[in-house]
Amino acid sequence: MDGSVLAKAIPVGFAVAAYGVSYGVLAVAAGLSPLLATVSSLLVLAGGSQFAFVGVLAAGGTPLMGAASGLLLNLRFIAFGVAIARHLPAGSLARRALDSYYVVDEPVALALSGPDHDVVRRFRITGVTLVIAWVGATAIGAYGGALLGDPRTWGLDAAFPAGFLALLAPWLRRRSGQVAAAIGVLVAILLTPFAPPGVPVIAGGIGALVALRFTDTPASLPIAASSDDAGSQTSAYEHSPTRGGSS
Amino acid sequence: MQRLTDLLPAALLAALVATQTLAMETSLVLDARAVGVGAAAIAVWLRAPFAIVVLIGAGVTALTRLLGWE
Repeated sequence: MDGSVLAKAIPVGFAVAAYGVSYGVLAVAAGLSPLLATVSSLLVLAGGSQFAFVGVLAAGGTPLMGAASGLLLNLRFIAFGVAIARHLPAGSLARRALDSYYVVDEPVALALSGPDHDVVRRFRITGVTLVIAWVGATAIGAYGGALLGDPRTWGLDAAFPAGFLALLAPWLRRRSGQVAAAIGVLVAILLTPFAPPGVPVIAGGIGALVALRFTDTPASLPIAASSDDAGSQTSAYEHSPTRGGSS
Repeated sequence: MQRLTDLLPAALLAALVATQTLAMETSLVLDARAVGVGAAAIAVWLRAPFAIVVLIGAGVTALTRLLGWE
């Protein structure tokens, strides 16, 4: 049984690791020390928001601004936490706190994508795999990235938006997601010349409010489709019912 | 509330893509990043895996700079 869980968790780990190396490189390029970059991965454990944070820093925003956009991106984990909580054993407070640490896209998506009796084990095994891959890969990228020289030569500054675009893909296959994204882009671009860096991104969140007025078919709101994190969106990305379905 | 937290990442990710492709501090510019992200968008359209999308975005941007367009 553990073997079959690992067979799913390990590819997720590799995908997360690839993303983690680029996070390490980019975080250092944005001005974080290699140690701080690595510790941030251990403490935050949410790739999307970490990328948003260093992305805002790289664009000249303040750390507070970066943290605010990261927090907004992570709001969805409230919903994820509720979704996974009923499967977790009551246990001690410490045990539940540790479980809550793993409430990120990949462990939740993988845990909920199989039979009920095995949810907790899938959740924890994927969680541990994720921590090892994400933190280890960040360290490799952060300490090794200096060997690359100027990250712009390698186009790494464009790796940010390219990655966000890939994460955005599941939403772009639904009406409400398209509206949210389009308004987000519009607001961000219109504000860029007038607002300090970081503000246009946070303001772009207004797109989600506008998109609430647009409904999708009920089947198009799977939790796995709202993947955008530590890279392995691949897990959610590939398993998401919106992929391969409508085209 | 759940729908809002579901849609919020879409709006924020899109805003991030826009600013990180087109913004330089507080001005809007069209440079090599736009070419790379455009290529990445085509890869997303073709449902390429995540790592490939990122590689294409970075690779095409690097290539564009190599060809002399910043």
